[in-house]
Amino acid sequence: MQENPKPIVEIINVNKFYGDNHIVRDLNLTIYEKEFLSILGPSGCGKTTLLRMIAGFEYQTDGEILIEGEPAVNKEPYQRNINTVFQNYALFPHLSVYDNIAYGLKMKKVPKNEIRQKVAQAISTVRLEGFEKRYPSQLSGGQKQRVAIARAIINNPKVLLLDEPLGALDMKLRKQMQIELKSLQRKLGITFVFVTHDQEEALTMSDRIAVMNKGVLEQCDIPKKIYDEPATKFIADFIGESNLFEAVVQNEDNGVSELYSEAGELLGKSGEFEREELLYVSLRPEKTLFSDAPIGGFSLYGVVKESIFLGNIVKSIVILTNGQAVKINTPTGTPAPETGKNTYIYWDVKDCVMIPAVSNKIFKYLEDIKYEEELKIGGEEQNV
Amino acid sequence: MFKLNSKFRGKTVPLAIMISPVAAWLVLLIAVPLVYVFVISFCSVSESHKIVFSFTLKNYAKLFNADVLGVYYNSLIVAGVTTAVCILIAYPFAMIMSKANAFKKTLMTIALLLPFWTNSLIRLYSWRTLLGKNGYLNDFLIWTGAIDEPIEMMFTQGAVVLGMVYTLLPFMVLPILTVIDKLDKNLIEASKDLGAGIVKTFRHVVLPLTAPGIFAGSIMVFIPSLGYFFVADLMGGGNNQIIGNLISRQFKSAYNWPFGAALSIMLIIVTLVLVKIYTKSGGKIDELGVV
Repeated sequence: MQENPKPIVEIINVNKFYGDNHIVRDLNLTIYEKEFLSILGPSGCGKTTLLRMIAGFEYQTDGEILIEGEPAVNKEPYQRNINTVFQNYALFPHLSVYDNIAYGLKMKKVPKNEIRQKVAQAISTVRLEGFEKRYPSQLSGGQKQRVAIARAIINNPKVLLLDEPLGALDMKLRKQMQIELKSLQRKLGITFVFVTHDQEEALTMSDRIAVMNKGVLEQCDIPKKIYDEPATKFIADFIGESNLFEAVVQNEDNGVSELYSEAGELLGKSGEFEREELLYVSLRPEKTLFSDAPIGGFSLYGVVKESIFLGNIVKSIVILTNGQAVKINTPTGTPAPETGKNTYIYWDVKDCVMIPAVSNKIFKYLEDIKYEEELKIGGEEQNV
Repeated sequence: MFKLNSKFRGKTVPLAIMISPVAAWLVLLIAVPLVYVFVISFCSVSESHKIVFSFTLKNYAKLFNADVLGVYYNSLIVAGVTTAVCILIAYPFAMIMSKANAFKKTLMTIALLLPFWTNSLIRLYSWRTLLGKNGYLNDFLIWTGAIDEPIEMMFTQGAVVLGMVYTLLPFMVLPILTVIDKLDKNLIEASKDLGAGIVKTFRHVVLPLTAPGIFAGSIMVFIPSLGYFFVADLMGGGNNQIIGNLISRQFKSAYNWPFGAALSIMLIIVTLVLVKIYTKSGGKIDELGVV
């Protein structure tokens, strides 16, 4: 990305309802020129709806979307400088590869010579030479994917939206397409907005990742930050593997905070925490360590339930005294307790991530209201 | 879960016994009569209208007589206009139906199929009370002062077409509905995304992809409207003969079964040719067998 990136799509306080379903909640996101942005989240988190609102297939219930600084609300999909690669490719089955790719130019009444030239160029960009006369039904998944991309980029969009475009491909092809898409984005110098539920895909391809959960944009940052400093409990859990300790602040001292969790005492980074404040302490399995003897400040104790050899690492699962399972990865060759042995666990304070529970508390509160109502109904039924 | 008793597992009734009732039905009621029609189409009739089993092609030569050609012409116009009108009504209807919610869709399907529960002759008769010289429509037009004298609306070619459309419309709606339902809505969005408005999207994407349904529906409407003689009788009052009338007359009043048989064979050949064109162009024979 450039030093002073120029915004191309601005999403301001956008909400989307389908009937009573709140699909997208108060979402703010700025997408910049020439960046590769992934929208990552589990299915049903509202990421596809967000993409469809940017494309113009859906309109937000309230809030505003600006495209190149102008409100997009009255613009039809074809009036936006944005094109979409659909999840199932949506190639026109009655048109050949050539005609599929030429469709956008034909609709704009571009002279035939120019169409021929541009289609040839797009075909060579996605390396589909020789397939011009084939029909979509005669293509493999990867080839269909290329046609869909060529068809979308022929109109020279400023933004290309991709809705889980690699979902239907097998693992090997997927990896290959990831690299190709990334280099295509650099070559074209346009913005890619890439919707996916695959965190690994998002981490390897993106300049920035926007993580969504239940309609809320929880964090938008560069992949390293998302991985190292997850802003919410959900992200810590969703991106990679994490051990999460729900803990209460006891004391803060010298850059270290002392906390108390159900499993025992533990240490974390200091912040401007209040006494008795509820926090989540998140640890990556490779940063969680074994010890034979108790380490100062930690009283986490458990038994090794399993240890699995995975080549370069050994993956152990330790059950703590409160029943919580903790995942620990140790490099092969370093000593690790065997299955059935008792062990203490600890970590280097600088490796942990402190996640405030406030935002979660609010949503948890909202969820709890609903939950209680259901409980009540259940209770009444039981009484009858 | 229902579980088959182990005693019966792996044991089945022999295939021949299973299909024999259907086979017998098809042979007795369809194959045998067809062969009979084919055979007598090469026979001649005696003075006393008896079929004489001597080989002749004169029944087929008679298919090209001038008076018979006139009936073909009328019949083709009625069938052609009926098909066109059916497409124009059924296509928007099917589109609305496809977009409707489950409740409205059920309602529309019932409205479409309910008339089949009443005999079509009775349904056609009811048009007389509407369109006849003393019918409600004439009464209404005189009352409004639009006309001074009742006009003849029944017993015209237009009335025959109306009757045909009325009788055959569901056969056009259902195949078109099938293809519209199957149409991937993403394709419409893709077309809009690529720069086409509603009209262009319809012309370049929706219409080509739903054409097989239109073609299937056209076969389902065009062929019966060559043969539904009772519609021509009731609505056209004998003035508007179609091929169906010609055939029924050979069997019922003219007692020239061999010529009627030759006409029938010709109609069957026309049907087979149309169906062949349909399947050649990628249509599926199953989708013709709607309702």
